[in-house]
Amino acid sequence: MSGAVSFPVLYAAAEAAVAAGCFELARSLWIHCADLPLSLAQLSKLTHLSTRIDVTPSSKRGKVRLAILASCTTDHLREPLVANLTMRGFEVELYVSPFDSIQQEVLNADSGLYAFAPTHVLIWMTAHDSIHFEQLMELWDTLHGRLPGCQLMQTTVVIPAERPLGGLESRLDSSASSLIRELNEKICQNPNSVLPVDLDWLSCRVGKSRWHDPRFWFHSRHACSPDATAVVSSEITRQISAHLGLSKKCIVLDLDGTLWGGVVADDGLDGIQLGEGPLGEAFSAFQIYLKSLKERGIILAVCSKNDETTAREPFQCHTSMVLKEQDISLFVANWENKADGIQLIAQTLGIGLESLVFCDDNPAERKLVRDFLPDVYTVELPEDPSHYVETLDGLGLFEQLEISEEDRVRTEQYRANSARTELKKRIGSLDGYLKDLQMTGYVLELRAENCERAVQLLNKSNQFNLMTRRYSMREFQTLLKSPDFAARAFRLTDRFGDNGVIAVLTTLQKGDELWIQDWVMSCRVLSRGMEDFTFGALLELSRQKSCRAIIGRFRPTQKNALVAGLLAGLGFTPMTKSDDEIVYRLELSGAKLKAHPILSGRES
Amino acid sequence: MDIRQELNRVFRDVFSRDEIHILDHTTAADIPGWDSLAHISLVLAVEEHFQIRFAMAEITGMKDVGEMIRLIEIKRKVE
Repeated sequence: MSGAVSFPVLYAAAEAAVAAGCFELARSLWIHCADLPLSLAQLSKLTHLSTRIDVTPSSKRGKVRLAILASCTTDHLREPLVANLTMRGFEVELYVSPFDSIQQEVLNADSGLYAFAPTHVLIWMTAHDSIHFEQLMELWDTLHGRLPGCQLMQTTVVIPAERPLGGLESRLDSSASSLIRELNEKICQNPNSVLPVDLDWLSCRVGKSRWHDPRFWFHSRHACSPDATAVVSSEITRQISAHLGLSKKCIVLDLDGTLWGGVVADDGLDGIQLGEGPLGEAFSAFQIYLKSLKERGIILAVCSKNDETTAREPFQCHTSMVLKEQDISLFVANWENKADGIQLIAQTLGIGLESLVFCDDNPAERKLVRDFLPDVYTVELPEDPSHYVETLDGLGLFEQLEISEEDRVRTEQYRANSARTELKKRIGSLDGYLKDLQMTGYVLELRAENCERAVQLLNKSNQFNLMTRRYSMREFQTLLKSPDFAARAFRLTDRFGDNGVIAVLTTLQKGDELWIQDWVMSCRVLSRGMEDFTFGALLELSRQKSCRAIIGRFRPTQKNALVAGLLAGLGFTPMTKSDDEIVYRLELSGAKLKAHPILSGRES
Repeated sequence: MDIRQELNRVFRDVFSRDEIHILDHTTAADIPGWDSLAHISLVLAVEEHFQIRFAMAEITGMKDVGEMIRLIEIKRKVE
């Protein structure tokens, strides 16, 4: 394989997590490791590590009692299979039938197989078995009859690499390859609800010359090289997980460096790499792959550290974008930490964190999400985007036993649903909704050291912005030194987490008047009472400064119509109006603060 | 590092035992867990580590560690 994803790095991280007693994190990293193509030596290291990870009963997802009936040696499979299934939270017991005894085990009602009472039975046959489909169906029927409720799994037969007829193997329908191919098709299309495990495909992925090591076939009847054991164990685990409904449902995508090359906020719409050139084509290929996931019912969501407007622009305007806005069920673009964003996505979609996959090219973001949300499957994306598709596909995270019409239209449903809930919340009972949010606001006095985010917000806010003034960092820090200038930033937390700094207010004292210099707020927290909370802080500030009146101004731009009525709404009186601004005045003696649902928090 | 030291590391990895010290006359009987299944794991790990390949007869015919080391020496020179 490409070697694009590094086993040593993940393994070392998992080992460190075990040493630190962080078993949830270790478990998540372990599963990441187990999905990589591994040498037997790596696999055995990993298997040993699994015994040191304490999988707590709370994460248990039920019992798997798997019986393997095989005409080849499967001993090497035992340990990795137990480890793989345990790491996914299953309580697992394994039964391996005596070598080459499929028929006896199935036909003899007193066999060890039936005494074991399996939940899953896997039948593994090889090209040496020369079995007919009809015989296979008889075996299945017997099993179904004697083990009601047990899920049967049947491997396809691996077509040997060697071809005595050469190219004719493919052309003649009587050739060994053709006969096996026909059998495999019947196994895959079987109407008996037997779950196929397509080993022939798996052998192609691994490479047939690597898959089979004749030395170990002659030596001890290993149908596949022990080095292929890891992928076989992984594949069986995935199919069992899918059968038990544990597949992933949604993939959360970063934008810059993940869906396109470069940074759209810096490089501009025309500067990002997408569609053209080798890098651009690699990113397009990744988008095409994601689009096909979406079309089979996997929900796509975006979680990006960006301005929402900037983040959406490529989706709306870039001609090479394969993914469009309507392909994305939930679009989260802000400057908050991604663990919060991902949690919001899970809550809005109403799915568990363990159903989410997170794709981000930035290792720091991946680490954060792994640390805080170990249940989310964070993909270890390689540095080279040309391996993105291969990496994601190789993990087999989205196994499903069947695809329904509902799956195909799921994205639409989720988009509609999340819009509906939001609307219902707004119309139904705004007060109740706001109270439910359990909001706490914090007022921060800005100083040179902590003003970076505030300056950023001042510079990018267009809509909720009274004066639309922009500052360089140095300008703002100089202003802060002036004794008449005061600046406050506002942080808001709610039950979904920390929204971070979402509003900034600056004032200039002129005698007994306090002039509002800037008042900006992030539109994400609009209509939550944050305006009133900020106003409360403004009143307090003017009292501290022993002012008698507050002067506010509104400078209309093309984008800030939103706040045209803000000051009047708070009780200010318009005084003068010129071409470019309206000046308002509020006597402190007549100021009234409206009730709002935001508790006042103390910065710890 | 000479072959014996390297091989000792491979043994420790495969059998997950840090106290292993291989000698020329060490055999499967001396190391707990060295059964026919583990033998395959060991052979594959040695092949991977030294980038060599044993013939089937060599896999089944190795009598002790000394013989394994001699085979590794020869194959390393050739391959």
